[in-house]
Amino acid sequence: MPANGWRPSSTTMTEHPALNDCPAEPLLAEYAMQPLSEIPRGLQEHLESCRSCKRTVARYAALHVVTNALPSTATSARDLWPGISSAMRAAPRHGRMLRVSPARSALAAGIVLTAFLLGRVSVRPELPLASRARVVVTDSLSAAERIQEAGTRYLTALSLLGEAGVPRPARGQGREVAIATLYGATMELARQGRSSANLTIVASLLDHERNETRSGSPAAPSSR
Amino acid sequence: MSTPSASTEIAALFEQEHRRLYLLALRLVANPAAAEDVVQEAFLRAWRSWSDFRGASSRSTWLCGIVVRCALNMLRSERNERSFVSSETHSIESSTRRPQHEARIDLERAIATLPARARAVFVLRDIEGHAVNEEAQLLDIAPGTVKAHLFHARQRLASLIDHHD
Repeated sequence: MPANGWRPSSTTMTEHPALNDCPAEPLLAEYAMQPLSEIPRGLQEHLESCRSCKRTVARYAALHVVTNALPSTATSARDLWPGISSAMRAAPRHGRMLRVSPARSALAAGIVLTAFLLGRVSVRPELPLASRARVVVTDSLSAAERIQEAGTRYLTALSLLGEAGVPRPARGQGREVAIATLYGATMELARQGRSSANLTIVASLLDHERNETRSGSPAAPSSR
Repeated sequence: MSTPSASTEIAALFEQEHRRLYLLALRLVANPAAAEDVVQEAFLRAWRSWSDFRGASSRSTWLCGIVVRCALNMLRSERNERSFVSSETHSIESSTRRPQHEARIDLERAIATLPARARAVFVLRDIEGHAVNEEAQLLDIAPGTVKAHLFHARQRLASLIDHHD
């Protein structure tokens, strides 16, 4: 299995000529890869007399054979489970954060974010609203653990923002820029009044990430 | 839902399905690193919405749907359906010249050149074996649209396969 990707052709798929000129050709794509018994009788009779369609059916049959021979699994280059389990551990343990009433969560999140934007408060992991969240404190961790936890925070923030419709930052622009982009998106959501417990968590996670990046801490693994 | 039982079930599901889902993601996004991201994100989303699963399909199919949506979201956000050249591609191509092997390699490459939606339709229908209606639900498009994409994908791929006869 070619698990490491392919070089696609230099042209995108564009409209291409039909495989043959027979008016029945569009039906062949639909039926040619099904058992003969499922092909409409009229089309079966047509195939008995149309050489173009017979050749086209042969192509679809070849496609069917090759498709069925494709492998069904592949192994990724890296072990994906550690990142997943770390993110699960870093997330809230009990229930959904929406157990806090939406009004109260929006108010609290707004207060926290406003205070942060004004520079009057440094976001700490133990926020009243986010007290159920297990935002990781990294001070006492080793460098390797900090790298893993930083990656977990970033991955968690990406995932939560993804659920709010925020796209991932474009690749290749550096970690600090990517974090700043996500932070800007988080602030924009807050300005739109879409405050939520998730948003508070994301702001806290990204703030942690920004501080780590600016202080020159060991670079966290890219979640790409 | 972050309950201990959900975590345990997710772990078991990961062990059972991650290789298949990684290949599915790889065929959809045509980039190994991006496919890894897709799989991780999909399992996290599944874990968070574990309690929302209503049993309309199997857990495996439900998770497959999450992978597909994560893959399509990634393609939309990156606006980049091309990818990534691996140094191993050349070594694979330079190996056996048996026509069937060559056609199989060309098919994987050809699938990667399809537009995202057509690629998803072909992979889910002709490789993964999902029914048209099921696929329409997974992709949130009409069954007729699934058939249209499938027609064009099959026609395109069949014409390319023909070149190696």
